[in-house]
Amino acid sequence: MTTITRILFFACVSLLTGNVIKAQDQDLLKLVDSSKGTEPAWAAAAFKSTRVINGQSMELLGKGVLDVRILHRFGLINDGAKELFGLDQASMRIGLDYGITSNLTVGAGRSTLNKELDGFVKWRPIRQSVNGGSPVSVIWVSGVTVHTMPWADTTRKNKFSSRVAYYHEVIIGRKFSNAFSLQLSPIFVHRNLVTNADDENNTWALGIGGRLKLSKRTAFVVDYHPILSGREPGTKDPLSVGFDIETGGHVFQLHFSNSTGMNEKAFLTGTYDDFWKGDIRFGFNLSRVFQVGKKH
Amino acid sequence: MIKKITVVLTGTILFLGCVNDKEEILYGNSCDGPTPSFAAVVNPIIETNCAIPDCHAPGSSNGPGALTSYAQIKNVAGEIKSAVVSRFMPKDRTLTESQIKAIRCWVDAGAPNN
Repeated sequence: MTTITRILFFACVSLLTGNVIKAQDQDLLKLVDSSKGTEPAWAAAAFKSTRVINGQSMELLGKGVLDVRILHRFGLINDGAKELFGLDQASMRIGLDYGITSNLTVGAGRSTLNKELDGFVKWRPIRQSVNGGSPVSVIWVSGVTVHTMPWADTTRKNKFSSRVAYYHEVIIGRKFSNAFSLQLSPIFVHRNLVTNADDENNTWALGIGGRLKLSKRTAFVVDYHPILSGREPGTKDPLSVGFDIETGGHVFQLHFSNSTGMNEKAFLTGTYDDFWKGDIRFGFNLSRVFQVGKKH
Repeated sequence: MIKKITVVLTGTILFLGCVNDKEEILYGNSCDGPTPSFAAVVNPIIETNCAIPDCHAPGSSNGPGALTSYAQIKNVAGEIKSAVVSRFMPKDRTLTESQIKAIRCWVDAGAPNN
């Protein structure tokens, strides 16, 4: 474990522990409050969707809500008119997320890139409250990805574990006002198989996600994941900017990004384009929610 | 029932044993023997598969740009290696194992103009 990994690990633990202690403190206060008949008022809709753009947001689905998600990432805009500014090439992910409780969401999907399956569990132990509770929400996300590409070399003894990668993430986010939300999310990705002897199986990154509301139905969002250690050689930090547009039960997220991957492992270890050199792709996330289970 | 499935799924994700395999060590893809020649081996692979129209031909601004001279290729050798080894590149084409190994070993040897 490198020094930076250690520092990050302890920073995360301290931050998380600090919040838990604070939350416990506040939970006690909440009990006192509740004895007076005051119900906690949760901060709601910090983000329009359960994803900032690529990364998970501090939002979860309501109980019994099914979210059908269709994501597209196109080719490079600077490929020019002959490629219709990248629209001739498309990579997609289709997925389903489900809210088991208001604090527990599970999801699964499949991406065309590397024919990759992914699944995750997202749990919110601490929820931001606007009447004296926790000032932040804390969310834990754990996920697994499995690529299903044919083996590149069938003559050697291939292992199933080589297809698998894991990620774990803590999201600490706050809705500062109706117009502005910000979250930080240290994230750890483990790939069971890497290519070179000097490549690292573990990658650490810090997710930074922000939302600025522009009107009742639109918001500007930024999703940035600087890689802190264990960078896959040649890869760049994924950066996406875009707009959320809410239309009834749909949320459209239209964005510009340098990454093609649509799960955490894919975009943190497979973003080869440089945003600052203009290697940018257009993409969209389409989310449609259905109340399929009981609300309470 | 759904909660039980979630608990099992979470446990699986959290506690499944991770392995730290490296392809190069696992399968012995070491670069024994002489360094592949840039002129005779590496450049022809790049000319045929990369420096082609709409990809990395002269004037290209895709990714690292044109890959038509030793200087251009040497300049982004690491990037080429990782894109090729991960099979991210070339798009719509497939390199053979020996071609990938040639590029990898040439880059690992310092991308010489040999």
